Amino acid sequence: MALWHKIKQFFSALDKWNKEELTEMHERELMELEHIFALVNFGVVLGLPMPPLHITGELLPYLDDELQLLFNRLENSLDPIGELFSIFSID
Amino acid sequence: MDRKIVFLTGKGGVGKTTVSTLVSLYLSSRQKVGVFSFDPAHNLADVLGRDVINNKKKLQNLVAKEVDFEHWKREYLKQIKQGFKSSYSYLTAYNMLDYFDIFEQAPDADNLGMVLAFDDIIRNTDLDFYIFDMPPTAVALDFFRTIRRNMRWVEALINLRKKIIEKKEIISRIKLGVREIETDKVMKRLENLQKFYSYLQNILNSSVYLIVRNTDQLSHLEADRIRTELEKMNFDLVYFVNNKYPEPKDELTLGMINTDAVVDSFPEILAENKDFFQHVEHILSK
Repeated sequence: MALWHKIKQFFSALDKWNKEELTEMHERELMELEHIFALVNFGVVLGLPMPPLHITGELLPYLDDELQLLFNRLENSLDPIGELFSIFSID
Repeated sequence: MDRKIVFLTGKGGVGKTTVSTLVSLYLSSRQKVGVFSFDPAHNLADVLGRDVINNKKKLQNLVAKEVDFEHWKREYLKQIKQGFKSSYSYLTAYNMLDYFDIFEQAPDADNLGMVLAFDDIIRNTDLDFYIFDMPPTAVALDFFRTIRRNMRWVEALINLRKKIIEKKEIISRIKLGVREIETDKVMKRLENLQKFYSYLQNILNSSVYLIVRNTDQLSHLEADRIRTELEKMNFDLVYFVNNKYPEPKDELTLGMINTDAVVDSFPEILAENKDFFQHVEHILSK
């Protein structure tokens, strides 16, 4: 019984680790997609074409998270090595 | 009969307003017609009379208006500021919302005024015919392109946003074992914009385009260019109207018309250009 319990614990930990690995990958992709969305809507700060006024006007009140994301990204771009280390979880 | 939308385009000074007025007067003897000047340098009141534009004088079943795009632009910007007030409420403490007034100077702000005015006319008036007296070529073509261009922007943003939502759902399925669906407000706004522009694009696709030209070579060349551009946008119902011609060239030809007395001498104009009016009616009945 104790052995069965240990085997169950092992597979449960493995499952949890797998889920974390998989989630991390998807979360990273989600972050990039959200960055791209922010860039498309606010890229004018970098000289990229801006969406038409009607679209900007309709979306802007709901894009404060994306705006914050873009500013964070711009800030982190000053430390690309730090960001790379964080992706590989190197302290 | 379904309502019909007609756009009058052409080089400046070829007689778009005159032809718009004549077509409107002809059709309004039997049906409800609206003639709308979309040219910022409005001439409609000069031809029809200010009293008709101001609704002080009734002409058959005709509604006539010189559209004020500035009003639509201002109203929309007011709406945006209201939206910002709730999301960026901390800015009100610094009286910073006035900085959003700069949007009035956005490159496509004038075009947006035209689009919103057009949408309002189409949705909120009940007429059988809508005659739009358009500005000269560049501005008119830009208006038609704006609707298509904005629709493409919206579609691209929707595709990107869908990927974001799918990714969020995958993550929630892995973490929680269930697909957690949360309402994405940005997606809702994008879908509303898609419906808005699809509706207008369908209207443009089924509209009739009359390109007015005179006897001179320049207006012919410009008319050809306009037709090419409209055909590139997949508009099929495009016709040339020959205005100020000494002799009929084909069924869509008008002679010299005294624009100072269009309304008063309309019965004589109708008698002298019967073929033209019958042909226009035939095109609009398709």
